[in-house]
Amino acid sequence: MRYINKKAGQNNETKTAPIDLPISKSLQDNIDALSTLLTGCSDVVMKPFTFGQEVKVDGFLIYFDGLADRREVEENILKSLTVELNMIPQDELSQVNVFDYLQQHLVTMAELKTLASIQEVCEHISSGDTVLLVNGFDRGLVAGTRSWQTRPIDAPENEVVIFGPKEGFTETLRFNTAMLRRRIKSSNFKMEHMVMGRITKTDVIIGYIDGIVPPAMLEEVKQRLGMIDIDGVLDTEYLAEFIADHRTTIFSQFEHTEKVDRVCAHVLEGRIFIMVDGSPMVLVLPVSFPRYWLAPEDYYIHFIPASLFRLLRFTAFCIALLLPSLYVAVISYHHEMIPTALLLTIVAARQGVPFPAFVEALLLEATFELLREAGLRLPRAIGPAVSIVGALIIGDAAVRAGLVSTPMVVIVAFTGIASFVTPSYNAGVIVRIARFAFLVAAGVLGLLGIMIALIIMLIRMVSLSSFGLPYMEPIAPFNWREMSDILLRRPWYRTIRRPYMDGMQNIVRQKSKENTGG
Amino acid sequence: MDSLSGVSVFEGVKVLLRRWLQYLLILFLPLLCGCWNLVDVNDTAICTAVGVDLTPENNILFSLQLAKPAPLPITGANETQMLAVTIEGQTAGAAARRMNLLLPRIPLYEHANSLVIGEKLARKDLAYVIDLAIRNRHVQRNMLVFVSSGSRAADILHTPMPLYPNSGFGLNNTINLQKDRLLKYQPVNVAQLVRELSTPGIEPVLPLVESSTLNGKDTLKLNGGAVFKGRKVVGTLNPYEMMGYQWIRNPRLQGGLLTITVPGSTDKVSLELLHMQQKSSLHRTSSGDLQVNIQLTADFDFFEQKGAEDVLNRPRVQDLQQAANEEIKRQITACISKAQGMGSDITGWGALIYTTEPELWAELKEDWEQLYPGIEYSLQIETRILSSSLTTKSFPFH
Repeated sequence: MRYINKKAGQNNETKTAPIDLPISKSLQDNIDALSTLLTGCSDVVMKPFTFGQEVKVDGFLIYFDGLADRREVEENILKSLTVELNMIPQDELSQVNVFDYLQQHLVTMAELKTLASIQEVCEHISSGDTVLLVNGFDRGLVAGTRSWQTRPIDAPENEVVIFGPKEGFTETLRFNTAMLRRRIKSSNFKMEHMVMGRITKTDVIIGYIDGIVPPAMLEEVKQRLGMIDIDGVLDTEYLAEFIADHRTTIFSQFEHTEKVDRVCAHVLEGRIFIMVDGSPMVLVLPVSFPRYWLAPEDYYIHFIPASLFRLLRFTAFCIALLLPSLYVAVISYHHEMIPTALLLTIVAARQGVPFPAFVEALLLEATFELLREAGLRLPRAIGPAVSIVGALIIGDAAVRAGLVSTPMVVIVAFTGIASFVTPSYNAGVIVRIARFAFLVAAGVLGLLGIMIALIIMLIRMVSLSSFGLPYMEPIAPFNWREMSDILLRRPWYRTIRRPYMDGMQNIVRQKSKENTGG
Repeated sequence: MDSLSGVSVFEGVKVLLRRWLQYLLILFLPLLCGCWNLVDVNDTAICTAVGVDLTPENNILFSLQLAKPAPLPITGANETQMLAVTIEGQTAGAAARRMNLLLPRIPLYEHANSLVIGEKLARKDLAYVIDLAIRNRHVQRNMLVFVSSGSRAADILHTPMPLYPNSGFGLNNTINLQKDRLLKYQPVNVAQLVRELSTPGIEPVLPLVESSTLNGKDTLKLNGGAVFKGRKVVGTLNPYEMMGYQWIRNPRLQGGLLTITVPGSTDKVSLELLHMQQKSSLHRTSSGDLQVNIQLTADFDFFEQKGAEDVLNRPRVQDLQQAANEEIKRQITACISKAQGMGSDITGWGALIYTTEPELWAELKEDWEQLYPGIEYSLQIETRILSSSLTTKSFPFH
């Protein structure tokens, strides 16, 4: 794209932008610099004022309307400077010590800092803080007045649970950290702060429990995050794609969650989470694929039903992945594998269907994906209408018109239901994509093709890792002790150890008499 | 964008493209073979039974019974939904392929679970068909084998059975059901038949199936067994002898009915077999002759009594056990004497000698055909009546 007003050879950049300046001793210079920088920012509030009776001092207050708590600014800064300053003995105050006096006695706020550059001033007011500049001092005083309207804490819509905590993260980082801190009342629970994004200056939190987390992994995460140079970070996924071990793969190496309790559980098992201001999605790492089958709810209900649900979910995963392709393979290549009575029914149902089974399956699966995608984006009022049109009218009409056979509709519908059983959205995405690959393989080579595709997929999966953790752990490398908590749900009283991770500092979860060491 | 960076970007794209092309080539590799062996189910006809017979010109008369898929919604699942077709060919395989001269669909032989061998062919030579049965991968090894009696195999396949959509599956079901409930006929599948045909010292017996009538309609009925000697049928066993054959050919049995006459009366009593154990072993008589010793223990349940006498007391039960003992002995003797009369070792005594005394078998096997009718045997049968179902008494008439 060519810019219309850009002339060749013209350099738009001034020699020193106001943002690079330090805070000047002259208040007017600072006001000029800030006014230049914030031209066009209609939401900025700049208030020059004078305070003091005998010693008259010029001050300048700057904050963003809506981000800073206006009442706090008025009560704790303006009022104390203009009214309460008059109550203290005036001989203590002089032109020289007024700044320190302000800092120590007058501005009655807990969160106070001094600043030295215009850039810092801009950063702080963008976060909702208020900056006070005083004539004659090359420092600025920043008061923490962050307060803005936000979505209330709510149960996440995408991770619905029946038992257990329901609280979900919001878009505001502070609330999120507070929710976590409230659950893990240990000083070992660390939440390190980073600022990312050249323009957005987004706060990023790296959380972990010191004493459990593998230190080398933590260092690696920090290092990878430090290498990111991006203009803006709006969601954790921005970072995920940068720091993943393997970038071009459909297998997500992170867990995305909005649930506070889920993050706590992960952190207790020595994992690390990354949280970004402005997004309720929290990134948990490292994660291995089998853990996508686990639902957080499993740990909140009795282990026997939880184990059965887990087996059911695992079966559903296999069905969602393989059922359409198995059907196509068996119908097209391996007729002898179907019980005769069933085959007779299928043959009767397929009389007059003009497409081969493979094309039929592909068409229906594609339709199903279309409907699902359409349903996601629709306003709630229209959603049911689309499902009715999609499921009932299209499905029924297609069968009546003889375009598709009823068994295929049953298979695709069943697969659709099964694919919703997988608790993790990431695993669901893998299933949705891989299903088509399996379908093609089945259409071309039958069961042999499915086996080839399965082997290719498994080879790919075992070759992956998530921050050094093998992606198929504990299936490959195999670990009996942990398998008992993958296919089944281990009772809590038997959960003596945390899931193993290389370099973990403390693996013991329950200190019993027999088990005293890691 | 200057020209230099343009070249490098182009190079980069080329490298990327080359890498992806490699992957694509590998991905397309399976496509090279095409959809090999693809048979759409719409182009198939499900085969329920296969029949082979001999024409007077010594050609194979090949018959298929095909299931007609019922139109949806399925209404009369028990109505006859079958179609039989017959064609002639120089070999069985050739005839099977020639089937497509008159059939616009590919028959799915995998689903056929009855093979009917025509009486004519069975009396001539089984080698006419058995090679195809073990060589062709479409023939399932668990397909049950029957021999037609009094009619061609094609006629058997044309005949429906009541309450079943096709007689191929009906026949299969019938013989499996009667084994546990009646104990008359031994189902023999292709694998067993092949094994018995290829093992020296044992001959197969195949169930005979004949056309009969039910309510004025044609139907099929099991009736007796065809005794093979070598590759062809040499005679038949009647149902009574077939029961004797069951006792000695199975090491274990469960289920089945034995009807005996109450000693000292004309009343009949039926006993249900709970469990039977049988073991044949080789002995020498004092004169040094070979003798086969058959030991058999059978546990029965008192099933039914035709008559009013109170037989359910200790001495009478002993009598019943004795009578059952003798009945079993009679059945076995009838079977063995028939087999020895035909010179066909359906009892498997040759194989018994082979497994217990291989050196002796090496000597005997040449003359076994002549020796077999003269082999002596002894029967030790122990019968127990263990329970009497829901009541412990005979019906209290007054």
